Amino acid sequence: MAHLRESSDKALKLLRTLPRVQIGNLRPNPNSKQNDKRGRAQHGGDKHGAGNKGSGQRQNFMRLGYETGNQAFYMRFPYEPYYKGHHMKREYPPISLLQLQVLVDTNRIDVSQPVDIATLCNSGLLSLKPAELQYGFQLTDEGLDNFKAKINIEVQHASEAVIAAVERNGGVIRTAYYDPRSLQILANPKKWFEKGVPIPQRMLPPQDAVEYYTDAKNRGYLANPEEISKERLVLAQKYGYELPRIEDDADYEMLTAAKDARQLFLGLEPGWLVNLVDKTIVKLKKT
Amino acid sequence: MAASIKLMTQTLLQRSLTALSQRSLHTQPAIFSSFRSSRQVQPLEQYPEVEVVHNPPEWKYVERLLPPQTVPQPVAKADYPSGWKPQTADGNSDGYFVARTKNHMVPVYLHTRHRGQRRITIVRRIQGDIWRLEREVRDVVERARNGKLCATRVNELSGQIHVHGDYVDVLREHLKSKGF
Repeated sequence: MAHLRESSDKALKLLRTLPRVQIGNLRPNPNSKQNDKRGRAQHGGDKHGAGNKGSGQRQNFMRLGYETGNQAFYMRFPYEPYYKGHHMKREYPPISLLQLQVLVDTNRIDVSQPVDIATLCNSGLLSLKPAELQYGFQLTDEGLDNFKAKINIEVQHASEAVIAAVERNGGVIRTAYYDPRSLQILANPKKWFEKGVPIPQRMLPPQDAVEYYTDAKNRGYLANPEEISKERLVLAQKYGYELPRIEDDADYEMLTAAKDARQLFLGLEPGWLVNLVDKTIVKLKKT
Repeated sequence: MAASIKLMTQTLLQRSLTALSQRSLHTQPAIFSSFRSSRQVQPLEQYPEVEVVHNPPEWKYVERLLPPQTVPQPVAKADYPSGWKPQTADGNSDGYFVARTKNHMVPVYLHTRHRGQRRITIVRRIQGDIWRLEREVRDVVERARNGKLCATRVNELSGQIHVHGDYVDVLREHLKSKGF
């Protein structure tokens, strides 16, 4: 046993002189590291997992879904092109009537003035990205029963029930088209005024939107006003409410205020230049 | 030589300063403008005749288009059809206080993780006796889930209570009914 004690003593003695086990004097586990070089010929050269002959050996990775001459599975059946032209479609981000009522209740928008995209964006709670093909807001019917605001609002799309909900309270709703450049300006009017560029003219709607915006049922801004007043009555009868008379209203002027089809801002004509620092407007001289 | 350079820079500086003070109409300083984006000046005959109107009657329309600098204070009304309520409680009777957010909303949020599989309701901005509110929250949530137990987690330092599951509407209504 003496030699055993001797060797254990020796080992302990050795251990005392050795450094501690720490990250600096450890080496990786065996075979845990892969060599980034593949040897050729006698230096370990073989197939290297690529197999023998043909497409596999040449590492000819085919495109996803390709079945080497068969009619590929993804092309085998007819389909409905749901997303056809998706990159061209106009998007109208939704705001619900509930959201609008919250904005009114928390004093974020002033309903004593006409409400449009600029008002909604200036509230700081909604934003519009015309660069992402957002063409304005659509008013949706969530919170329809609790909507009680009398409002003159201009949106880009609204359903029949929403129009009825607004008109039942004695309000006015209008759907209007804005071209992307106008939307960019309306999304942040202050930034535009700071540029020192005249207010541009608003463009007319594209051909596929003309039908919507000339229809009195949608309260389109290009529709005949007489037809709109007739449709207001028709909708009141359909939904069973008494249409409040706007003519007798104290806010008649606010409720009937509307932009021209070529106008961007209410009360400001295209071609004018607004100077925010000097509080002046540069107008065209009338001859 | 050095003295003459100093004199030159001084006169240049003076000239630019006088130019700055003489500019009556506000224009953007040339150093901040981009020559690439600005249009070149055309012959003056091509421009229409304009007049600068001071104190224009249309300025009220411009003011409407400028965003408010701060979040406006809510106006007291008889009723709020949207269900939003102003804060009425000051926390003296309850021992705790839940502050409103800068947008005057109740600070109850839903956090979803693991592809919507884990839903955690978070009540934030709690001051005072957070453990008392936690007991109340647990009570309300357990009533909403028919007496089944409710798991909560309290972060005393940051004043937050995390509740397992989606109980945002329940807790928000509860806090509103207590006046927070």
